[in-house]
Amino acid sequence: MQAATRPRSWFWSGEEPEWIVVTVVIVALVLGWALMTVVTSQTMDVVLDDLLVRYPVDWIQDGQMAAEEGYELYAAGLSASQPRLAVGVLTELDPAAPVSLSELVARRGFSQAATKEMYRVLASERAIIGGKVGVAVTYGYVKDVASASHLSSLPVVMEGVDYLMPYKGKVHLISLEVAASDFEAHRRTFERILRSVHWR
Amino acid sequence: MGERICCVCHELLEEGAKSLGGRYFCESHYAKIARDRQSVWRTTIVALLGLLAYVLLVELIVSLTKPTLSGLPLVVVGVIIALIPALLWLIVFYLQDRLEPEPKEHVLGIFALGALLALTIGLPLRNELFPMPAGLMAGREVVVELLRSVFILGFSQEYLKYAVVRYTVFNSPEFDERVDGIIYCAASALGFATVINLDYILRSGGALLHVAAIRVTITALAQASFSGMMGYFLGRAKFENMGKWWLPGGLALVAVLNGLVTFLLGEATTAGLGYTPIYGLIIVAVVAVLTFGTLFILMRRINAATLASV
Repeated sequence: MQAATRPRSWFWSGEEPEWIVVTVVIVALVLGWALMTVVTSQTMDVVLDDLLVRYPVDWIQDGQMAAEEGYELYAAGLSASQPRLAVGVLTELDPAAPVSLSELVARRGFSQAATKEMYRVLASERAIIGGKVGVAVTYGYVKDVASASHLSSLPVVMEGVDYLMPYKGKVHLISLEVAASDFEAHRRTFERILRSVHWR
Repeated sequence: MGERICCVCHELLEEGAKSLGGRYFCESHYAKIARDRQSVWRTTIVALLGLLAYVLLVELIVSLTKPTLSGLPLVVVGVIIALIPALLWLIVFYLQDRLEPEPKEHVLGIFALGALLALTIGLPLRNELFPMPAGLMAGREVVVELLRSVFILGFSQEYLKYAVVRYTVFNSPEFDERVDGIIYCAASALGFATVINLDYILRSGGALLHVAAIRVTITALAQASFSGMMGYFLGRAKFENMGKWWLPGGLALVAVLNGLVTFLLGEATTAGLGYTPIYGLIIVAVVAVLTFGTLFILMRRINAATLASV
């Protein structure tokens, strides 16, 4: 009969080597993370001219917009302040009348302020999306959807970022917004969407 | 032939030393291994009943006094509520353990280590590294929640509580009876649960008192039940050669059960925006009774078999 000694290197050898326990736990964590990533990162594509963006597969496309206008997509849910993604062409650039990015930002601000209540630009900064340089305009406004009155909701403060990206003679717009209180919770999703941007 | 060493106190043994399940024992530890500590089971029953009585008491106080606490006073009362399940168990354990004592400093140390690991690893892992993703549709949300409960929360929580015992007291001579696995694992789990409960109270800014009482009880009972199971696996591994897959297999089993029950608790207690914690309390009480009942039967059988072989 062999002696039942407890070896000092009990992590690597012995009757119950501990490395097996640690490995099982690490494998489970990695497997869980991988499966969660697979489920949460399933995406669909929207293609607009030379721009491709991937969005979560369970977001819904707004059927009211014509394909040539762009796309508006939103996460499923009852609230009018669900996260939204809009992809479109803001304007076509005229080589005879060049405009600067700051001018584009100002124009965008004025047009938005005309349609959105309490619209305010919170910040604007240079951004690189899909390897192309553009500008990110962070904004806020108050959303009070008349058609959502049956949902007993109060007006909601929305926060969003417009990415204005000049490319091949057009200024493309990628807009992401959600209720300001939920912005942090959706930051990862927004970052994933932005990382998926591809210019052809 | 190699030297013979007592697997508990590591004392060198003579030829013909007692052995069991491939392990050698000195005379004193051989006599203790199969001891059936009734105090452990009494503690468990009293603590279980005490926790249910505690929930009823808080419910009664809240319904009679209708407290209107808010802000700091609410948080302070919430913190007290979060600490009570662990305090109750420790007090009951202390009172029951007077006849067959386990070193108090070891039990408290394990409790504190369980709390420390929950604070430094368990909570950041759950809240920061693997939070529940926002904005998923209902069907996918359920799948992700199930995966997260089993693979992330189940395995990480059970490993941390297991590690507290395995890497400290497990190899010490104080771990000298099979049932010690259950005692120390329960202490580790209650330390862990206390931090989870405090996190819940502080994050929610106090919470409704009777809801908080039920919720902290659910967490404490669930964590103690799963760790009780793990304690069984550790208790046997210490005194018998169970093979190299015994502990990993045990941990995986307990982690999956933890994940499934956590998921079930989430599904049973929340419907839309509503929260009905009483269903969770019923589920976890059933789980606790089944777990400790099974452990009691298993321990008695194994100890009886050991005594019969003496």
